[in-house]
Amino acid sequence: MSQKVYWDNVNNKEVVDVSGAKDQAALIAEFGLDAGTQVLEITNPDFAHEVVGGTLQSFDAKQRGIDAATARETARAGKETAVKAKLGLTDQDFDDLKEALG
Amino acid sequence: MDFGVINETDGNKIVAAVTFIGSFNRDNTVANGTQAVVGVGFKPSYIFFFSATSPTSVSGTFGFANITTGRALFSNHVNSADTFNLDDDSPLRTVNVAATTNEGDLTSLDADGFTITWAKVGAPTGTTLCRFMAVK
Repeated sequence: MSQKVYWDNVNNKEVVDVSGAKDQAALIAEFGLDAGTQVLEITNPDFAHEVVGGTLQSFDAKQRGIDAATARETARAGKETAVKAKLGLTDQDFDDLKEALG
Repeated sequence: MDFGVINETDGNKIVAAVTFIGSFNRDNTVANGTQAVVGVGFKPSYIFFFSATSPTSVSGTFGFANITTGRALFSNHVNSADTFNLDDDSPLRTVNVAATTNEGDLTSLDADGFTITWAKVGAPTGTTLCRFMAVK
C-alpha cells in the first residue's frame, strides 16, 4: 500500500495519508496547510521520508541500515588491524588478548 | 481488519475490535510540530506503537496510548549501556544520540486517524520508523 506525505515547513505540520487515497486538495484545506506544502508518495515499504535542505524526499531505510552496519564493521576491522600491526600480534595473539581482557 | 467471535447458537459474528495496522516515520532533525496520520478509516480509541531508528542504532520504543495517557518502554542504551527505561507520558520516545530525545505524544484522536505532537530535547539525528495498530 502506498502512502502520501505532506510537509508544511511554514507551520511545521506534517500529514501522513496511510491509505494513499485521500484527496490532496481536501487534506490541505482540512489541516490548514500552507500553499507551499510539499507532497511525496512512497510506494516501497522499505522506504521512509526525510527533509534535506528543506526538501521532502524519500530514502531506502533498509539499505541505509545495512550501509551503516557495514561502515561500523569496516571501521572496527580497521582498528583491529592497526592494533595488531602496532603490537606485532598474530590473529591468535589478538584473540587471546581479547579473551584475557574479557 | 476486525477481531471477533462467532456465536455458536445463531452463527452471528460479534465484532470485538476493529483495527488498522500501518506505518509512518518522523525525521528527527525537523522542527517540533504536529504529525497527523490519516486514512485509518475510523476514529481510534487507542494506539499501539513500535519504533526503531534509521540508520540502525540501539534505539527503539514499544508504547501505547489513549487520549489521556501514554506509556512506553524505550532503549536508553546511548546514555547507559544495555538499559531500557520507562516513559509515563509519551508512547514514542527516540533516544539515539546521547542527551537528546524526540518524544511523540498522542494529542488527538481524529475521525480518520490520529495526531502526534513531536517535541525534541537537544539535536537528535536520523529518522524514527514507526509501526502502529489503531484500535476502534
